[in-house]
Amino acid sequence: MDSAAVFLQFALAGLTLGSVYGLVALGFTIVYRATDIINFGHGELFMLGGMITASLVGGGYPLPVSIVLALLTVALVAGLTERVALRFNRLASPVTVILATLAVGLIIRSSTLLILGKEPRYLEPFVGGTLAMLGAVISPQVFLVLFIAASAVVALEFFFNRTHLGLVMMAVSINREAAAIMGINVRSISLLAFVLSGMIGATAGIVVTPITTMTYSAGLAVGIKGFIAAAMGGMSSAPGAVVAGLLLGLIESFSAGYIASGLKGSLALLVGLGIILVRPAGLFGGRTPR
Amino acid sequence: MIRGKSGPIHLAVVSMGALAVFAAPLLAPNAYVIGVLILLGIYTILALGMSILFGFAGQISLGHAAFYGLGAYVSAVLTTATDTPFPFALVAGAVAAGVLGYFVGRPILHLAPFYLAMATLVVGEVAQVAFRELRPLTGGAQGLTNIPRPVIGGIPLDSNTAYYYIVAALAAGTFLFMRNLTGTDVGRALRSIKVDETAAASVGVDVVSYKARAFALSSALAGVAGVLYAHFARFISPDSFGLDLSISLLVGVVVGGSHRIAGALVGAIFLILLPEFLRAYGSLNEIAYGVILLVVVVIMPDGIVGFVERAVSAVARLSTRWRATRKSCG
Repeated sequence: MDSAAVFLQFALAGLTLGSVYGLVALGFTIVYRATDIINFGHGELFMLGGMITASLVGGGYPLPVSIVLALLTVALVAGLTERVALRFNRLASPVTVILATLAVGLIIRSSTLLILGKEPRYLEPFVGGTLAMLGAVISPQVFLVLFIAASAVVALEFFFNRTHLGLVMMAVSINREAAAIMGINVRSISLLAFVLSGMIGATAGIVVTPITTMTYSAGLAVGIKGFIAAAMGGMSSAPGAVVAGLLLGLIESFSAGYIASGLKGSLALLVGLGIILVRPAGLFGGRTPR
Repeated sequence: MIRGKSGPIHLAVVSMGALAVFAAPLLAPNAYVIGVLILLGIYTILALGMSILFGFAGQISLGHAAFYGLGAYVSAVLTTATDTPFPFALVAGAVAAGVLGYFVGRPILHLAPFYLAMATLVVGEVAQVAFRELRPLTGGAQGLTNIPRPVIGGIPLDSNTAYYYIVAALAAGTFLFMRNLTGTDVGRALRSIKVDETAAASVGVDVVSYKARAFALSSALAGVAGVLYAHFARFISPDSFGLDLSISLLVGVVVGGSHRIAGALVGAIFLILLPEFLRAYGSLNEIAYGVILLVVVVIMPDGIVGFVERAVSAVARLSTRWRATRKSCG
């Protein structure tokens, strides 16, 4: 392969990773918008989506059925997270929320290890064949991931700005008390936000499993990068989250490809953290986080 | 020596504690139990460090394994590659971790709690990658082996019992230091930051500077614990310094009770004993950590020590009320 093909290969790998980070970041954004909190177990929902789908397919279920079952399970787990971790401390301090959601994440991760084991799980690509582009060999699955990330942003923008439920969620994020006084059931909005965010994260896990495989321990690193991307995007902007996610993915792919493969996501994480330190409101402006 | 407390009961508790620490290895049935006691001492230092940061200054860290690991690697490299004597390696490990803690803490302690938690997660992740990738120094994923047991004043401390006394002395020293610190203006400044940063700043507390110093002290103590661990286990690898350690350290401090120094001690005991009890159940161990953390955060946010304190004061209230009723009736 010549250097242009290598470059293209790294770029596409970076965009794929970046789409995943973007989708996970969207989950953080949705929950933050509706509840002003961060779910530190969110990365585990990404992992759970991929692990359940791959295990069901491995057990002989058809792919669509497996995907639906995985999404429903993750929706349930996300809903339980909200009820259990936030139920008893509605006015809790951030530190309490961090610890409680971290604990739920730990329970999800170790239960997955116990039930599904530590071997990586595989899935056949949903779209078969390979594409050749400028000498680079690309799986069409990559474009599926990019397409899903793009449609998620469009759908969410539409949802938050054009639908009744989306506007209600926006109202809650702007002022909880005022929204509650206006008759909005703040508690169910918070539950809905967790479920929606979990299902988007799980979707990312499902579509990326054919490319990267999935293990019980994969959720944490992706969760960290998803949060960093969401923060870089200003924490409440869906397009910002996805753009920042793509940026992180590209930095990760190029630094692993051209500098040292052992770096993994470290350089991307440090760049992301640096940006957050310099611009706490995010690259694209937005609300200053508390 | 210990401020703010005196009286015969307190003296008795302190002397019994000192006696127990001194006599423990003599009563231990075998070397394995002494090994567990050494780990308990190491975890006590770690938990005390975490308690100054989390319990007193109210700042979260999900990356303390980085400083524990740095202490361990600095001392291991110094004593294996050069002939640095153990006391110097110990100081070097502590200083390296403390300095890194200060310079990492200074910028990120500006961040709001959620962001701080995530930033410290990044610190932990990056440190683990660094331990793995700086192969010429750290031995990569295989780690470093044959780390020597310390030799102090020409006497090699090969036996676990001898090493136990070194660890116990350092742990006890740290404990007393921390107890004294809580009564000083530094301790009060840190607590004021935990209660209300804005109010603390308005009365002249340099919030970020105090937070960074608490982070540095906490990291330095993690470094000391790391040094002690390296020369006890005699083998270290990046796997020993992962996120699970950072989280269980936090679990320990929260379970013990983060608002009291004694809570760190209870937390360390908990962290050492729980795996011993759960050993038979394999991976249920981690689930148990999660469930316990959740239960503690949701039901008893002040941990075991806080729970006991509240129980004691409830009983005291009941008994005064009972006496008062009896007096008024009789």
